Order: sequence, then structure tokens, then C-alpha cells
Amino acid sequence: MTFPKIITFCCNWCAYPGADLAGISHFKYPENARIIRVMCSGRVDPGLVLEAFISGADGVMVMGCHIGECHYEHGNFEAERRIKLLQYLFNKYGLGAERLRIEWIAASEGMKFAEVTADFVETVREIGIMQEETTEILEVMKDTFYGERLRLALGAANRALSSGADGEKYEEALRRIAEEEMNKYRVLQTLRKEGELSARVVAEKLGLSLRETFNHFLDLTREGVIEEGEMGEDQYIVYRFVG
Amino acid sequence: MEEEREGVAVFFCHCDGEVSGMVNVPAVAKYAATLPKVVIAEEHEHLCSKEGIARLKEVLGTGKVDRVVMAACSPRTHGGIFLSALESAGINEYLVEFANLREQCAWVHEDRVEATEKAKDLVRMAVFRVMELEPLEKIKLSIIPSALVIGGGVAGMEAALNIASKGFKVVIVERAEEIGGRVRKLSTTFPTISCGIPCRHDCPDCEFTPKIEEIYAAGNIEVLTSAEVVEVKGRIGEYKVKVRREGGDDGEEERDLNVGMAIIATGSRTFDPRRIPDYGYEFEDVITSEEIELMYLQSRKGGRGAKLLRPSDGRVPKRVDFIQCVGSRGLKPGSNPYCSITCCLYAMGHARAIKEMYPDTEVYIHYTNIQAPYRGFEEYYKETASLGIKFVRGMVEKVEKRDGELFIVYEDEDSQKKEDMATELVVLSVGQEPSDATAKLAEMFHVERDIDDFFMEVNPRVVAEEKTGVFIAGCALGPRNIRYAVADGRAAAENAIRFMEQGFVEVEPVIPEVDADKCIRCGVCESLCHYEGIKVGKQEAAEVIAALCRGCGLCVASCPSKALQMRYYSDDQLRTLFKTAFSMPVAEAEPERG
Repeated sequence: MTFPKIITFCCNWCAYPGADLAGISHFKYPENARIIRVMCSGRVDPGLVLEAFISGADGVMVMGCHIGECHYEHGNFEAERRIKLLQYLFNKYGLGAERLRIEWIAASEGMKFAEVTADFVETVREIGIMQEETTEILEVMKDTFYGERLRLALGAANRALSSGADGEKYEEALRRIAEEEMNKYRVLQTLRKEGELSARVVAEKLGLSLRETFNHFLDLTREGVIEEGEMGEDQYIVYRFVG
Repeated sequence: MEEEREGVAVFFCHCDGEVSGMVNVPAVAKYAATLPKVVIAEEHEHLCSKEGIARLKEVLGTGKVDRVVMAACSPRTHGGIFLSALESAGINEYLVEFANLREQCAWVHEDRVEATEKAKDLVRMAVFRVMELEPLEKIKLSIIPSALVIGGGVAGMEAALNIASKGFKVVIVERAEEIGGRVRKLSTTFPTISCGIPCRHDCPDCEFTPKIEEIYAAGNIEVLTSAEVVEVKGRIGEYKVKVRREGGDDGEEERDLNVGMAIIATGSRTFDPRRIPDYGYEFEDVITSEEIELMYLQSRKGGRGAKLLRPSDGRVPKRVDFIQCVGSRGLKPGSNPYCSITCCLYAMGHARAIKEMYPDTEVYIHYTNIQAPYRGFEEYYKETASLGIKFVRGMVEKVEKRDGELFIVYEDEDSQKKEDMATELVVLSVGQEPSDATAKLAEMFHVERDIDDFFMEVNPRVVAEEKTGVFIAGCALGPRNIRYAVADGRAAAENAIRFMEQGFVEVEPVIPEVDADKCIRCGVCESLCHYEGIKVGKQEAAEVIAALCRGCGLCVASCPSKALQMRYYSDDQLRTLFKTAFSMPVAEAEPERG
């Protein structure tokens, strides 16, 4: 059984040829990484990265052209923004931000490809296997990154920044939105798992304020994934998952 | 007939031991045969050979499969050869997947058992992905049979002449008042002597410098001087280009051009030696190689023979020092990292001219390495040294003025001494760097630049996608001598001619598809696309403009409502790769046989 299991997304123009050059130059590196070729690092949906972890990867690396050298001009900027946000959440939820890496590999950097891969394999080996129990939080994160709200904020970043928005503040806002969405989907996951629950019970279970939990209940009801039920014994209305 | 074909053929290449030396190919092939939908698992010693290709076609000729996995070298190596062979055997090229067993497996691992296990994984990934693929057809676009050439130097002129000779219309847009480019500013070129454009010698052996008269004489070449490209719209085969030109009634006029192809031959800019204060360019008697050319040219105009006189007092200098690599090869802070290629030879030419005119003048060339690679160049170098011109190997520390006299402080590596000598004239052999227009044109035409900010040179061995119809020639790609700039012009013209003669171009169908019901008209896709490849209306759902889309998939990964899916790289098609990367997919742990 391979450990650690590494998925490496390589762009077609720089990183994949860089990996080929490592081969042509016979630079050795551990056999743990499986390369997935995409046209641009900007194609790598953060949702797919999370799915790779859910499927059993212990580490995921995204490799693209150096900043300023993207074959498609700015795809790598978007890739970087997404991975940074993912790293932030991995750190916050104790999954280990080091399991995720973004690297720039030029077509001429066979040596760098081999070295970075070897280093990443070692790093992830030290952190250890991605435990089965993490699936739950990864699923929540996946829902977050497939959710419309965070994707709108991520997708609008380029437009906002090029018309003068403050980069750091925007990233802060992205992190805040991501955290709120994480909580929303944790609420959803709890209802999905445990059937009918009131906001009070969910708030207690997840350590959220009652107010925030109510807001998530409202949002999720509006999205049609949960619905209002009867009044419970504790005088709070219960909600249930409808999918 | 198509319906009858269903299943996957996996072809394994031993690559004459390159793969099979590290990977147990028969074991992997045996494993592949157990995978779902695999009906053929065939090994060959050398698949890209004539015999290998023939075998490929023979096996596929039985018509049992519609999908193929090539478990061989990188798709970047022989992918093109395999795809055209597969296509002729009736396989849609978008139903093919590669398992890179050579560059990304056999060549990078040392343990045969582990490499073999990884190879099985790579083949399994490819087999599962190939089953997810959909057949696609290339998209055909028409081409307007006319070309734009930006830059009227030797490269651009050669390109224009070649295209015009095939009967296509060409428009040259030149920023300067006259065409001819930098070569026009040269008195002579080396080592051939006297084959610059202003040369009137008409040597019968001088055939590689296009002549300005020929350009103006050609009926189908239009020359727009003092003109610049200011806007570009459209796509390969159909560009709408706005050109702004000085002149006309109100001092400026605009022209709209419709062209199918564009050639960028904007040359390079000469390095400004003020950026390296050590070389003392502020002093009157420190000049650049371009200025010495100008002096030769001007003095020649009056009569026979050139003259070279000190700018400060009009006297013949008794000593001249040439400094090489000014702004090149990273010798001093502020210089570019690369070699500018032409400076060694032209400096020798200048030095020889001085020695011929004034045999008593001492001439020094300060260099760190002489770059004289082509035939005739080394000979020229040796001959120059034999004429009494002194080559001093070592860095020049500085040029300075003391008590009104010019001094040059330098190392002589051969004598291991530091010298501090009075001199009368210093000539800086300045290098080349990207021209001012490079960045703007690269952005307008969406062509790439390299690490040094020149236009990116495309390796002719790599089968490149052709989505721009823009070809680069000459020093716009990096420093070049005249001969190679001209050759570039010819090559760029050949490319443009090929498309124009064909009249159409086939572009990749690897573009997004829109689910109009899911699209929320937010416009994220449109705002992220640099190519105007996707449009969203207020009412209408997103629409992909196939001719402009480059297929990067950025919009797909960013779409807030997941209304976009990428052909050939859909979420499902990528998902299947990581789901099968280390084991059979969970749901299909029991392989069903063929």
C-alpha cells in the first residue's frame, strides 16, 4: 500500500513538461505521486482538491507555470488564491496546511520538480496518513467550496482587485465567508446525519451561537435543503434534512 | 459500424528497454487485461517505429474497440504520431488517453517492484478515464487571405516578401519613418562585410538581406510607416486591427485592417549604457557601437572612405578601447543575463576598420569570452587578432576622467594584472533587450513572453496548438544576427502561408459547455477570461465563443453555480483519475470482464 498517497495536478504547459524533463534527466523521486494533467492550474477546482482528499489522498499538490508566465496569462493567480484559502481552512480545522501545496515549475525545471515532489512526500509522510475521521470535515469543506456564495466571492476576486480593491482585505473577507459557509454546511451535515433537530441543540453540538445557527437554518431553508418541522419539547422548532 | 466498437485497447511500449528496464511490462499488461472494458492489452518493443505503428493499425483494424490507452512515453514526445496513426485506424483522437510510463515512471524510479506497481496504477487511471471520455470533432474556422507584418526590419521585410510572392496581400506596420529597422543604421555587417541594407555594393552572393526597393515594388505589399498597432480584436483567421498613423489632415489617422494572420517582427531595443554608470557613458569620448556605426555612415556620405574622429576634439584617436558585453551576460549589476550574440563580431569589425584607416592607433578589445560560433566567425576572430588588435581578457572595472583625461581601469587575466591606462576613445559594445512594444503586443495578441520578456520561442519539435495565427520572427524572440533574423522571417511567412493557402484552420474542441438552466448570469466567467472566449448576457446564459476560447478551464473551475463543464477535462473525467490513482474505485472493486 502506497503511503503517503499524493495527487499532483500539473498544468499542460510548464509543470507537466517539467515532470517530463525530470524523467529525461533521470532525476529520481519517490513513486508516491500520481500526476493529473490539466490545461491550466486555474482549471483545478478547489472542490476537486477536497474530493481527492476524500478519495484517500494524504497530500495534494497543484503545479503551474511561474507567476507572470502562465500560458493563459493569469490562471495561476486564481489557483494560488484558492489553495491559500484551502490551506487556511486546513490549518484552522487541524487537517495540516502542509498537506496542500502550490508550486511553480517551469518546463525547464526538471530538477525542481523532482526535489519538490521528494520534499512534499517527506513532509506529508511526517504529518501522517489522512485519517478516516477527517472525511466529515472534508465533506463540509467540499460543500463550502462547491457552494455558490464562496465561489461567487472567489470568482469576483480578480475583477475586484483589478478595479482597486485592497488585496489583503479581500483575502480576509474570503476567509470570513469561507468560515461562515463552513458553519452553515456543518449545520446541514448535522441535520443530515441526525435527522430532526432544533437550532438550540445544533448550536450546542457545534459550539455556535444561537443567532448564527438560526441564520444558517434560514439560509438552508431558502436553499431548499432543509425544512421546518414541528415545535419540539424545548419550545424550539425542529428542522429536518430534505436533500 | 461505430456502435459495434466498444471497449478499450491498451498498447504497451517497451521502448527498447527504456521502459521495460525498470517496469515489468508483461506483468502490467497482464494486469491491464483484467480491468473492466479492456479487450486488448498488447505489448510492443517499439511502438513509435514503423513496425509498431503498423501493428497498432493492424490490431485496431479488427474493429473491436473504440477507445485506446497508450502506455508508453510522454504524450508530449510521440503523442502526435500516435494520435494520427490512431485516427487513421478509425479512433477518435479524444477517446485516447496516455499512461506516461517512461518520463514519469521508468526513468524516475529505482525500485523495479515499486515502479511496476506504480505503472499498474497509471494504466488503471488511464483506462478508467478513457471510458469517461466523449468523442469530439475539431472546430473549423475560416481564414482571411491577408497578413499583417508588424515591424519593417529585415525579419519583417523578408516575411512580407515571402507572403506577397505567394499572391497574398500584406500590410507592413512600421513605427519609424522608414522601413529597414536596425540594419539600416549599420554601415557594414560582419564577417561578410558590406551586406547591410544601405549597402550599394550589390554583391551577387548577398542574397539574404531583403531590399527596401523590392518591398515598395511589390504590388500587394502596403507599407504604413510612422504607424503603430493600437487595438486588436478577433481570432486566428480573422483579426480586426486598428492602426494609428502620424500624418493625414489632423496629424493623425486611424486605419482598420482585416487580416487572417499576423507576424510580429518588432526587433529589439539597444541596451542603454547609462544603466551601468561604471562604463562612463556620460563622457563625450565614450560612445556606443551604434554611434560608431552612425559616424562611419555619415562620414562615408561625403565621399569615399570612412572617418573616425573623437567627438570631443575631432582628432584621430591614438588609442581606442572596446568594452564587450555591455548590458549582457549579467557581467555587471543592471545587465541582462543573456548573451546578445552580435556584439563580438561587430566589435571586431569596428576594430579592424579603425586599424585599416589608422594603422598607428592602438586598438584594445576587453572581453570575458569571445562568442564566435558560426562558420567563418572563428576565422574572422583569428584574423582580427593577427592584425595587431589586442584582445584583453578580463573585466573592465570602470572608465573615468582625471584631469580632463579619460582612463580605463581593467583586469588582464592573462598577465594577472590590474591596469589603469589613459585612453582616447571608449566604444561600448551594447547588447539587445526586448523592444518597448513587446509587452503591449503580447497582451493584444495573447502571445506569451519568456523569462527575459522577449516573445516566447516555440520549440519546433513540440506539436503546438495553433490558436493565435500569430508568428514571431527576428530579434523579437531574442538577440539574433541578420542572417537568422531573416531566416526567422522566412519561417514565419511559411507558417502564415500554410494557413492562408488552406483557407481554414481546425482548432481544439476542448472548450466548456454551458448548462443554461444552471447559469445564474453572474458574469464571473466573462470577467476571468482574457480572450473574450465566453460571454454572458443580462438575460441570456453564458455562451462560449469557440474561436476565441483557449480551453484553459479557468471559468469552469470558477463558475459559482457549476453551470460550466469542460470537454475532455470535465469534473467527472478528472475525478475518475484520483479515485483510481491508488486502488480500484470503491464502487467498482469487482472488475467485470470485457
